[in-house]
Amino acid sequence: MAIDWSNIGSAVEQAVASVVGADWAIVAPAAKAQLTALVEIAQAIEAERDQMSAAEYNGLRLSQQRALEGVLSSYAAISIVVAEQAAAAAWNVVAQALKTAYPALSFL
Amino acid sequence: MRRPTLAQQLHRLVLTVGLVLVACSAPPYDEQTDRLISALQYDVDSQIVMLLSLDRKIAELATANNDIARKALAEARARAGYDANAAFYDKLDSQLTSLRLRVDALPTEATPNIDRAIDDLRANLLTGEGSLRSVHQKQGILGEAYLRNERRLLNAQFQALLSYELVLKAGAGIGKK
Repeated sequence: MAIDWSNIGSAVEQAVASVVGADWAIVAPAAKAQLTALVEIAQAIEAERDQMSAAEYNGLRLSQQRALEGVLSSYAAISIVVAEQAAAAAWNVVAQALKTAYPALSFL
Repeated sequence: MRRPTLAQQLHRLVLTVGLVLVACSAPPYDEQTDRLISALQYDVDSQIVMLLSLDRKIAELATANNDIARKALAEARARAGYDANAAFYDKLDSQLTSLRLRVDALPTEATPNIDRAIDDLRANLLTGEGSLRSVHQKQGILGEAYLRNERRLLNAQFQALLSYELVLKAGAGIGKK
């Protein structure tokens, strides 16, 4: 069954906000575009899942996480550790959605 | 209301990151840095486009059943493989080092942020877990779906750096970190 991505975006934002805490209000305008890009990449992975290897999936996941970390940690109030945790939390939401919809998908 | 496309989202992101990179001081615009970023972007994008083209050729020839086509398939596979492209990654390593040296030559308060953006780019291209080079090395031939998405991600990172240079060229200084 295909994933309903309409709810995933807000779940991703909630996951990041809960890690970042009160500073989310400051970083949100810049980070939201990155979160949307993350969800769109996850959608592309869903659409092309049969043409992607585990190494390729992990490469995209890590590149996307690094891009989000870069945006978050460019703000003085957010440490690199918190940025890494927030990026991991964001990807965890889309990975869970992919796992639930495609439990047999080998690279998840 | 229509949702913005990924390209629009990336554009907004790039502008935001560009402005954040300018940070609390406005260092002088450096044409050489601008050229180094543009050359690096062009080299990476051209290489990915070449690999995408080889993927399509491999797919076309995959069902071939004559000697000429089989030979062409073997050649395309060899050209798409990591070994045939190792020199490209070495060149990127040098280009990224030149870029960072140039940026660090005249340090300002914004330099740590720009350095981090270059380091993130290096991690995604060469050194990080899951970098373009490491996936290529592990897999031999990169798939079309992966290359298309990786191209999009990398170009967004380049755009952030280029936006930063454009903001400097325009003589703007925007405060934040």
